[in-house]
Amino acid sequence: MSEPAVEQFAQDLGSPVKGAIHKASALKISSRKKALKEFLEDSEAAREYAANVKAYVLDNLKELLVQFETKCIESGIQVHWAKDAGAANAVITDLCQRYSPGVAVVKAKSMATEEIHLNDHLVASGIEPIETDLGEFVAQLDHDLPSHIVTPIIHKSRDDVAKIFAREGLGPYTTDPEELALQARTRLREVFKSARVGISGVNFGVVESGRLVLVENEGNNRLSTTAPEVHVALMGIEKILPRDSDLPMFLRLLAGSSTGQQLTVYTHFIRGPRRPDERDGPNEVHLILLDNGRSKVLNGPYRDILRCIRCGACLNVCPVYRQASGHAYKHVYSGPLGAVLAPALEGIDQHKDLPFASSLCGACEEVCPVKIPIPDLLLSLRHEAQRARLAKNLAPWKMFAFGSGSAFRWSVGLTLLPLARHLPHPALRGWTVERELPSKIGRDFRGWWHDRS
Amino acid sequence: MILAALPDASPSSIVPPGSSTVLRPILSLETLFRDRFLFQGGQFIEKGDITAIGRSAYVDEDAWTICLGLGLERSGDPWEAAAGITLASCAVAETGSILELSGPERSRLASLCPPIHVVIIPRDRIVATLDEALTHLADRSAVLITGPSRTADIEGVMVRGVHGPGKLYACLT
Repeated sequence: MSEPAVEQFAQDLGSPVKGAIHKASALKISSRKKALKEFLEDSEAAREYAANVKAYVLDNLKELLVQFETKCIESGIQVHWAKDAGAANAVITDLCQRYSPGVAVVKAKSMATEEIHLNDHLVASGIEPIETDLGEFVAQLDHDLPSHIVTPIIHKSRDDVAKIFAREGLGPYTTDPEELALQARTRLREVFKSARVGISGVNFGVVESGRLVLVENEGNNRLSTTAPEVHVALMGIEKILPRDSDLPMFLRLLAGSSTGQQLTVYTHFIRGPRRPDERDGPNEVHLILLDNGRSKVLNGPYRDILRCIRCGACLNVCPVYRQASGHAYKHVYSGPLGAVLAPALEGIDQHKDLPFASSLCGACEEVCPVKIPIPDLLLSLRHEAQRARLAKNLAPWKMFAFGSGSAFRWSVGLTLLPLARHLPHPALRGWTVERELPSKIGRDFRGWWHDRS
Repeated sequence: MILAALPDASPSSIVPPGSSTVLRPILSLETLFRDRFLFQGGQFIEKGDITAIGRSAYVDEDAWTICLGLGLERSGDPWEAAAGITLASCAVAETGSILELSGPERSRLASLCPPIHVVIIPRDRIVATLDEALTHLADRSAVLITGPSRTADIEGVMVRGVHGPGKLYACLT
C-alpha cells in the first residue's frame, strides 16, 4: 500500500537536510509563540475572530465574490475567472504574449502559480518567467521545487546556494549569505528594469473596497508589481475578507504565525492601476480568480481547509513534516495543510498516503491562526481512503455474501468449493494463488447430519 | 448587499476588529513609535544629516519642499540614486511602520529602488494602531513599510537589503 511513501522519503533523506529543517522549523515555532504573546493582547480571541470571519466568507462566498468582482472593476482592475489550472494558465500566457513578447516576465512568490504549474506552461509557450524571491530564484536556477510554502529552500545549505550561483555565473564562489543576496540583487535588478509584465499572488482581497493585499519581506514583490507596465495577480477564490477593517488582525496573525514578525516588512495595498496623476505603477492590473477544485471542496466535508491563509505554522510544528521535509508530500502544498488540501482538491485516489502522514498529535490545530480542525479533517480523509481501498478488494467478499445468502446457494457453493483451486478467471485466481485450500479429510458435516437423522 | 448585513447574516458572531489588540498607549505616541521603529531595524536621523546619507537622492515632490536648503543633489532616476526620500502619509506607533499612499506628488519607486530610504515623518501624523492607520487608505494604492528589506531564505540567516532598501532612516519633523 501507499502509506510508506512519505515515511520512505523521510528515511531516505540525508541527516544534514533533516537537521536543517528541524532547526529552522523549531526556531520559527518559538518565534511564533513569542510574537503572538508579545504583539497581541489576546491571541486566542484573535484566532477565534479570524476563524469566524473566514467561516463567514466560506458561508457567503458566492455573493461576496460577485461584490468583490464589482469593486475590483470599479477600481480599474480587469477581472478574469478561471475554473481550473488550464484556464488560468491560458489567460496568463495570453497576457504575457500580448504585453511582453520576447521579454522575460518577473514573478513574485506565489503558491497559486505553483499550484497551476504556471512556469512550465509559460516556458512551453516560449515565455521566460524569472522568479525574484531569493529562495524561489535559487530553486528555479537549480531546477528544484520549493519545499515549504513560506521558506522555499529550507532544504538547501548555504554551500548549495553558493555552488548554484557560481555555476550560473552570478559571481565568485562565496558562502556568505549577505554576498549571495547581493549577487542575486544585482542579477535581478536588470531583469526588473526591462520587465513589462509582473506576476504575483494575492494574500487577501477585500470585498468592501476591491483592494488586493500582498505581503513580503524582500521587496521583490513590490518591484514585480510596480515596475512593469502590467501586473497580473492570481488569487484563489477563497482568499477574500469582507472588510478593510478585517485586515489589521489578519496581517498581525499572518506575520506572527509564519515568521514570528510583528508585521511583514512590506504590505502592499493595490487599488487599481496607476492613476493618470501618478508618477509610476502598472498601467494595467489583471486579477485572475482561480477555482481549480475549490468550489468542489466548499461543498464537501473538507471545506474548513479553505480558511487557510498559508502561514506555514502547521508545517513548522508538525513532527512528520520535520522528519520528512516538504518534498515528501509530492505536492506544492505540504505538511498538515497539504495532507488535507491536496487530496481535497485533487481527489483521494491521487494522494492516498497523505492523510496517514500524521501522528494526529493536534499541534497543527493548536497553532493554526484560523483554527482549522486539521486532525479531524485528516481522520475523515483516512476514512475515505480506507473505503476506497476496501472497495477495490471487495469482489471475493461479495461472492461469499451471495453464496451464504440461502441454504441452497450455500450447499451448491460447498459442492463447487473443491474446484476453487482451479478457478479459470484471473481475478478470482488472485484470491487462491496466495492461499492453500486444505484437502478434505473424512465426510462433510452436512452429509453426516443428513444421514444421522 | 451582503456586506451591509454582515453581522446578522453570519451564522457565527464576529468580534469587532481590533477589539482584542494590542497596545495601551500609556507612553506618548512618539516614544512608542521610536521604540518600535528601532525594534524593526530602522534608525533615526536629524534633518541636517540627510545630505550626508545620500547626496544624490530621488526625492518625492512633497518631501522636496521640506528638504529645500539642505544642499541635496536631486537625482531623476530612482534606479541610480543613492537614496530615496519620501514623506510619510502616516506612521504607526503599534508596529513602527510607515504608511505611504500613492498620489500625484509621490513615486512608488522612491522608497523601493535606492539602497537607502529616508522617510520624513511629521510628528502629528503618528497614529496609535494599525487599525487607525488603515482607515487612511482611502481609494489609493499604498504600501506599509515595517523596517528595512530583509530575507532569511539562506539557512535562516537574516540579510538586510535584498531587493528593497537595506537601510531605513526616519526623520521626525
